[in-house]
Amino acid sequence: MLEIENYSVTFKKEMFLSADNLALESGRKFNLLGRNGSGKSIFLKSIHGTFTAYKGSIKIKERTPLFYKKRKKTIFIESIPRILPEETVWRNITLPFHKITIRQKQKITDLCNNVGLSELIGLKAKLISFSAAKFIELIRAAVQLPHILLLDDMDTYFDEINLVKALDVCEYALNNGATIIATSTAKLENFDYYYRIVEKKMVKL
Amino acid sequence: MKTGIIIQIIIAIFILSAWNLLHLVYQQQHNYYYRELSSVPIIYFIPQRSTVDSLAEKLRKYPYLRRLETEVDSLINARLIEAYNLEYARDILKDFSLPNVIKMYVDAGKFLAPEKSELEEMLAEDYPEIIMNYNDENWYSTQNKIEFLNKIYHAVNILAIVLCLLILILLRIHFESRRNEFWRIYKLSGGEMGLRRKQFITTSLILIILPFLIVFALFQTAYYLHYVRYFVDLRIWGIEFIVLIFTALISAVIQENKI
Repeated sequence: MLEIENYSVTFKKEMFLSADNLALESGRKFNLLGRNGSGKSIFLKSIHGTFTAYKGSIKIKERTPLFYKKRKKTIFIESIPRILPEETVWRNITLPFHKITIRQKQKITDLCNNVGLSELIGLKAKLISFSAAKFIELIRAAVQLPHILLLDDMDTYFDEINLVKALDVCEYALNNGATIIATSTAKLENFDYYYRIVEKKMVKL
Repeated sequence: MKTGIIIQIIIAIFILSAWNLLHLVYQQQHNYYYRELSSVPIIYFIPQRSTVDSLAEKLRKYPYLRRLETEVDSLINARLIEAYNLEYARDILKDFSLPNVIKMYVDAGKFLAPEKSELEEMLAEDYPEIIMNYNDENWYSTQNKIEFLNKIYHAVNILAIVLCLLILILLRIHFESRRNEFWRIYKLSGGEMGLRRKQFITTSLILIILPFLIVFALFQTAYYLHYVRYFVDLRIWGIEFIVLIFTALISAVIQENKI
């Protein structure tokens, strides 16, 4: 699914982050650990195609990240919730869908039930909690069945209980062949692979 | 957004209607001046009876001629006798040679300065004995009024174009900007990249065609129902349509990075 070779980012001629060779399979969850400012978000943005000033190569199914970014096959969930506060929870979840199928509608309803959003579905998004807003983003991303789902600073918006629920949502995308890459400052439970940024280099744990 | 589109359509209808009313007022005033001028004939006093037909023949060739009235001396004689009850002086009048008269009514819209000079030159060269009587002062004064009216009309039209562009572009940008956050979140959430562009084009088409058709239908109906006396020229409708297209194009250029 994702192949990274000789990846490196330099700022002002100084090495900021590097990774030798990485190969991430589909249907798997990867957790990238690192302290604040270590370059986790830059790495996710490189895969997403929004950061391109790196050396080396990143290939998703043998194509560049930009190819999939344009086709919305890589979805990046940042730390700040990207929702429309004046719209309802349901509208926010279904926002990117031009037409919604019965199957998708059913799946969204199920996922909302699982994470406790079903009672809030008709409420305006500005009235819900921060973690509920992140669930909106997560469900919205998962039901689009992306190739790669990128979750930045996952531990800052989900506590342990909500993290289990969030991984349940991710499971739907994983079962449909997605790869999940989540960054955090602390190790997250139930992930398949762990990487840590140590001395500006990504190493497998 | 729907409210925004409706507001923009209403304002566009209002501006276009006001603009078309300006055309109608201009046409009405313009035609009033020309009608006034056309009602005053050019009178030719011709001493020789034999010259009347030749001059009339020449005058008939001018494209601005509306009507020609010829009165020969015998007819004038008879009219004088009848009008002033001069039956007793019939024999005396017979001894006087009265001039023949041609009254020429022109289409003032076509009888402009070059045509007037050409006519005067022709008379001076070919018929020096003929006296031409025309209210030149009135003609010059009306021509000046028409010229002034035209200048004002063109200036107001330019102002109308600028105002139309300015108001409609600002409105468009205002309502599009209000949706920027929506589209940003939409894109980040995985929405189709080209949808905003598609919606921008659709909205542009609605904002160009709908107000134009409504105002066009309004003025056409008013004309056929005789609420207005003049028909707004199709070229003017064309200019108005082009201005509406430009509002959409300029808005697209300004919003280029966002759509």
